[in-house]
Amino acid sequence: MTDTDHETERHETERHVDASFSDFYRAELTGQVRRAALMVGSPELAHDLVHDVFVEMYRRWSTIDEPGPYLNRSVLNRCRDAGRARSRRTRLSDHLRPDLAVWDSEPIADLLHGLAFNQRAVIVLRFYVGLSNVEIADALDCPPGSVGPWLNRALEHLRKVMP
Amino acid sequence: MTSTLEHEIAVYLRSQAQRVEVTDELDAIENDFLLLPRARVVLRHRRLAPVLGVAAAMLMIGGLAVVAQRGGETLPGGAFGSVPDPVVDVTATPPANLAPFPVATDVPVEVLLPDGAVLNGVVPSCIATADPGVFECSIDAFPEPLGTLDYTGYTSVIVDDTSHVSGGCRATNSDATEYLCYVGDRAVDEFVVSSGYLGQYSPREYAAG
Repeated sequence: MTDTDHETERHETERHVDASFSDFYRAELTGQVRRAALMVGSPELAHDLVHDVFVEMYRRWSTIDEPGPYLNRSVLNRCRDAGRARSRRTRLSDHLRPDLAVWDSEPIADLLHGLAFNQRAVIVLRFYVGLSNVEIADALDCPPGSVGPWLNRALEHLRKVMP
Repeated sequence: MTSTLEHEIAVYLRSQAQRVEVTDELDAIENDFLLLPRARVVLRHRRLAPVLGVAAAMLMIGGLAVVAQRGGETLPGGAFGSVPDPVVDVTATPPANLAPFPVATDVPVEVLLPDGAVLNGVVPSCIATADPGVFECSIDAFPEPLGTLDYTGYTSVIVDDTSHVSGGCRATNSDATEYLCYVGDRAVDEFVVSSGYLGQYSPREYAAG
C-alpha cells in the first residue's frame, strides 16, 4: 500500500467518524437537552452541559463502544454537578449578594424547583423518560432502595404544588 | 388519585420539555475540539467558547512566539467554518481590541478538569498551567472535618464523567483545599495514582477515609 493509499484510507476513516458522530449527535441532541433542562431547570445551562459532553465524546469518538449509555451517564453526571453548584451558589447568594445570583435566568419546570437533585432526577427519569426504579437506580448510580423514598418525597411535594 | 397525579406530572414534564428550543451546535463542537483539546473552559455562555479556547491554548502551549508570528490569520475552523464574535470570561479581562492571537502569558484561565472529573466528590475550580497534564485546583472546603493535622501532600484521585479514575491531585496547603492535579499517566508519573488504579471504576462521591 502506498503513502497515498494510506492517506486516502485515513481520510475515509475520518469522514466515517465525522458522519457517524453527526448522525449520533442529531439523533440525541434534542432529547438530551430537554431531559437536562428538566433536570437542572435551565435550558441555557442544559445546552452548555450537553454540548460539553458532546465535545468530550467527539474527542474520543473512536474509542467509545456504547455511545448512548455513555452520553446518558455523562449528561446525568453533569446535571448532578450543576445541581450541587446551584445549591452552593443559591446558599451564598441568598446570604451574601442576592444581586449576584446567576441561576434560573430562564427557568422552566417551576414545579420541580423545590426538589433536591435526586428527587428531581427521579421524577424526570420516571415520568418523562419512563424508566423503572431499577433502571433509575442504575442511571443515578445509587442503590435501588433509594429510588422509592426519593420518589415518594418528590410526589409528596408535587402533590402540594401541582395546580 | 395517585395515578392522576402521575399522569399530570408526565403531561406537565412533556409540556415543559416542548418549551425548550434546541439549537444545533455541531459547528461549535468541532471548534471547541480544535481549540481546546485537553482542558474544558468554564463557560458563562456557549458563545464564549472560542476566545476562551484561544486564551487557554495560549497558556498550554509553550510556543507563543510561533503563534504570534501568524499575525492576522484566522483560527482553523475546519469543515465547520467560523464562529461568532465572542466575549471573554476570564479572571483578567483582556483588552477590548483583542488581537487574533493574544500573547496571554499571565492571564489565569479558569477551566474544568478534563472529562468533567471531580475531586473529593466536587467539581474543583482549576487553572490550566503551561503543562497540559497539570492543573492548579481548589475546592471550597474539604468534605469532612480534618482537625488540626497538616494535610499538605494529601493525595486524592479525580474521577471522570463515567466514574473512572482519570488522574489524581496532591494537596498543597494544610487544609487540603488547594491542589496540584495531574491528568492521566502524568498522575502515575507523579506517584499520585498507581498505574493499576488509573482507569478503574470509582464512585464520584467522596468516600470518607
